[in-house]
Amino acid sequence: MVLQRTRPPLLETPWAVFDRGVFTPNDQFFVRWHWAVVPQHVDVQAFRLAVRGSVNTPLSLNLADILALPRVEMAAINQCSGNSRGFFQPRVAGGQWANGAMGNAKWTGVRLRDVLDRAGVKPGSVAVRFNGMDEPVVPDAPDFMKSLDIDHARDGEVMLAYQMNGEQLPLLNGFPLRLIVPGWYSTYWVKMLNDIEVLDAPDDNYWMKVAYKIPDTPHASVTPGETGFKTVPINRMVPRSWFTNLADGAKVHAGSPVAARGIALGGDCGVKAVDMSADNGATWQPATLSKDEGPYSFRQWTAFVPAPQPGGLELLVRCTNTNGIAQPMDANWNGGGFMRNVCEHVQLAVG
Amino acid sequence: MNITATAYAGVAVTTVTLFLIGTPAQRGRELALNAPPPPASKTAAPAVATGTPAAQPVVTAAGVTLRSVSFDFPTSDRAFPGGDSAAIVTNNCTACHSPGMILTQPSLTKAGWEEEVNKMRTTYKAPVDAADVPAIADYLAGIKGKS
Repeated sequence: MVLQRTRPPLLETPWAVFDRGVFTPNDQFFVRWHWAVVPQHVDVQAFRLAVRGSVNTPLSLNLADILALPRVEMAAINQCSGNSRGFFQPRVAGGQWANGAMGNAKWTGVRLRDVLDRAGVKPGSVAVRFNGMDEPVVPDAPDFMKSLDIDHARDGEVMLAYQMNGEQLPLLNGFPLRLIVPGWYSTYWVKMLNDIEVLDAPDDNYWMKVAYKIPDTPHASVTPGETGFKTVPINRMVPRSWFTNLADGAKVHAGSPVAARGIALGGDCGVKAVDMSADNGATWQPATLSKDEGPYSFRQWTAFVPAPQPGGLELLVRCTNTNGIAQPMDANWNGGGFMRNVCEHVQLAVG
Repeated sequence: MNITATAYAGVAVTTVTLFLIGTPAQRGRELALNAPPPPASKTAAPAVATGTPAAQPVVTAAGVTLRSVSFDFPTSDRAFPGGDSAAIVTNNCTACHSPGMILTQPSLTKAGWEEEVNKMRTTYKAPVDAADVPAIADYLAGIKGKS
């Protein structure tokens, strides 16, 4: 792992991991905590999940109750809102991630809808707020909580996961329960989830109202120094793609085919196509896509340059998702360092 | 179990200042994350335990078993440069986060650092005396400054 910060832990997945397949091993899966007070021990027999607020029957569920609910499994990418923040120009403060603040896993658990239905959501409820077992160091600092609109929370896709890639979650990844919000940024994927509160008014807690806000502009992009724009809570992910077997400066042979390989994600839907360009985007050739593990998973791609000429060779890769949205050629910018999804490129030396 | 040496191999070197892990404390994390739950037939403790009994409680239902876990978070062995002059940030900043948070940040102007420190004070309620803010920003601009 790449250590960004020891406490609270910020651990980045080494880039080489993404070349090995579409699923990220649990012990190499990126880690991000906001507050330093994280329980170091979880007793599965003592653990309880509260479901309360605007419900007919408040619940206190133990893990056996949750295991007994209908089981679902889904592949989904968990990507930090600020993944790739370290590449923003001008630079912005915050975790200086490269591209490894993300991972893809098969999540096993239960539908949030099934849990909410057991409690019975009251008419007029508008949102559901999620809180985990982590706490601020300073008592009056804002506890980390996130919320989803009631219809999103009840869409049948949002999950409470107790397994990740077939094993119980590592403590650092949110054991024993983590909220899975397919297609949405990781900030909503609350770890060590032990409190679900149905709200009858919009959530005005700090982590929804102030933090993790993006400009309400195309690509969440503004000009550095710009003010006065409207902001909204960060939400759906956008398409991205990367090279995983070629890095800047790699040497390849003139006249011999160059095999490029990488991963792509559609964002809030599947990958429709991945294209590669060897002429700065003037022309694009379609890449071959690997097995489809579901709309919220990474998709591996391969493409070839048949016979490069001696000199420099710059390759670009672009993902288009099943909603028809393609990655932009120009990088976005915002003060939070959020939602980077510019087309990636790699510079090769042909000799 | 395999202790994944490859976790440290082939890490992408980026233009960003990142820090490769090689410390024993961090390997401890790898050990912990790689450690499978103790087999039911044995009473082996996890690789990293915090003094909890060897036999960890479990919950089993519908064919899935979840096992209690304990984990020692690694501690940072990084320190701020500058000897005694670093005391003002060591004393004011590291209750909430380790030095790495600051040492990986891009360079900021002194005003930019003051803004960051004030955000920590007012938004995140860091117990930092307002009178200390200029001296903290001076130190930070000294190690990570730009005009």
